[in-house]
Amino acid sequence: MIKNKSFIVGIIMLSFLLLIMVIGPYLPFVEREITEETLRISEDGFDRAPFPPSSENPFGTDSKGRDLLSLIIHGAKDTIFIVLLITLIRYLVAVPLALAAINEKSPFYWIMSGWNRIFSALPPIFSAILLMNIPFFVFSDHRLMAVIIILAFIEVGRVSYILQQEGRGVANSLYVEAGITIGNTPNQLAYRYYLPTLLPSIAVNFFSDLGKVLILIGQLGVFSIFITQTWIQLGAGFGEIQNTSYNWATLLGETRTSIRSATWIPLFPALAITYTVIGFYLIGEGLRAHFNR
Amino acid sequence: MHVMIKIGKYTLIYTAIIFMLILIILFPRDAQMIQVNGVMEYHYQFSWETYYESVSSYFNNIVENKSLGGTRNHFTVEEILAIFLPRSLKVIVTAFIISLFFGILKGILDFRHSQKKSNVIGNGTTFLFQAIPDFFLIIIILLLVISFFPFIPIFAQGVWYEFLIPSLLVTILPLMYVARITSSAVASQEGLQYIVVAKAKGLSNKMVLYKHVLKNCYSTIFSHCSSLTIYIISNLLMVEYLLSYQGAAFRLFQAIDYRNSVSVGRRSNFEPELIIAIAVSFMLIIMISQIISEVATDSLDPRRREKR
Repeated sequence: MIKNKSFIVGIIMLSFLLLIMVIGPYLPFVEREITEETLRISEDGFDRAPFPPSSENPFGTDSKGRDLLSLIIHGAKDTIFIVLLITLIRYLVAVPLALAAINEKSPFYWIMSGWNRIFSALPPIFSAILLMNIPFFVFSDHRLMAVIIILAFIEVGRVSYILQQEGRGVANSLYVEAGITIGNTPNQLAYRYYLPTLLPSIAVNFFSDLGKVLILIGQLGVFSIFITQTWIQLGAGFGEIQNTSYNWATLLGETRTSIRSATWIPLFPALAITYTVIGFYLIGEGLRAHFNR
Repeated sequence: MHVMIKIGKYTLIYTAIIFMLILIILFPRDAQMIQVNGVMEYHYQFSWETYYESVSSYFNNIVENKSLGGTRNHFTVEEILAIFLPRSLKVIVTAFIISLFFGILKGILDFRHSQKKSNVIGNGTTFLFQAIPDFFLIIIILLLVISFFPFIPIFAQGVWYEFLIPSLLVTILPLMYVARITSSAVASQEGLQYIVVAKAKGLSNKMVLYKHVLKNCYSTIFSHCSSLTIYIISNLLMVEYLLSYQGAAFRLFQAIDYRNSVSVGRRSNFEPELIIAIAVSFMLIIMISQIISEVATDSLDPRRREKR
């Protein structure tokens, strides 16, 4: 059992989030179905959406009059799912690559360091925007999958490099040499000797990467680049790009236009993202402290 | 000599990266909406010929016309860069200097603070800021300024001090990053023999920290210079976009031309030449920061100085 302040706090924060995810949609103050309500009749005439936070809408509404609290609760599941999937794919590629690249003469080392260098030359958000803008992915039927893979692969190099460096650090230690002497093949060596040594740091980095991925898709959301999107025709010859999920990043799409007039629209989704990221980080840091005892 | 080899190596790597970047950006993107019997269809056809043509014409243009290309409003890329890049450069340089200087100071403070109390995760504030998304921080600060300090000219444009507020906004997170690196670098030296010797000679703790420990930490701290610059630029994208600060990053978003409406016949205003130019300028800034870090480590690290 890990007895560590930040780990426990992180676990509590995430458990609360999971609880909200599961029972949230059935709470009395949350709408079952998201409805739009652009006009409201009040005593002195009409009010137009967005409506500021009130007792009816604790977090206010967005410019289509949808209740933000309900949106955030409904969107939690999608958000966590996407983040988890991106990070899982990233580690499924990065860990084997790192293990294969510990021997710096192997071609995998070149693949890994090239990958790392190319994508670390510019901020990840920059590569993400450029790659997600390629027409193949813009309105593809498989956009969600394509985007998840792009976002996962952008940082495979970085993760792999961190792990490889660590593996390299123990490559000359006695017990690894002993493993070579008793006749382990390189594959067995990677699986029996390096992987167990790297597991703690894989776990630590995994949690901090969950946070990083969530920040990245949040940034994309602020730039109105949605992970799930489709376009619908609104009339003869014009249409609108709409996102097809309620994940938190897409709720940030109005940030720039509403930041001066209706700050609550970006504020609450951003708050939800920050809460979750802090939860992930606390768990990661707690694990780090636990393993470094 | 040592520095020259490193610079040559970086140049080679960055040339390869720039080439890849050009290939990605020049990828044909002329998708169109067409209308068939009143129903809109998204139409895109990829062909290697157009791809090859756009890449070769880009390089031809550079060689023959000595120009980086044109933009949507008939300015050349160079003219646009001359207008927008200096505004971003001011922010980047200010943010770099402030975050490095005050980051190291804060890191030392964090370390000394952590010595007094047994604290697992170092200083709480530094840790917390690591986990805060940049957009959240900016939204909170804007909200505070708009509601409590409306006299702060946060959206000021066209005045000489226009770059100050964006710089400060860009600085906050990178500063915490430097603080974290510094405090962990200082902490890693703890208990080493040279510190014990220095203390045995009767030097005060402060003296040991600033004259001995910090000198040994410079190489670790400065080795993160390029990550620091990448962090700053990543923040810059967000700050320029949300504050509508007319810098290179802001122009970059215009050049990418991402919009929420689709209509028949409207061609994308995607400006590949400009995107390449801005991306490469950012990359050069990162590369320069890497060179600065090499030179700085060389002159600050006593061991390396001895080697020369």
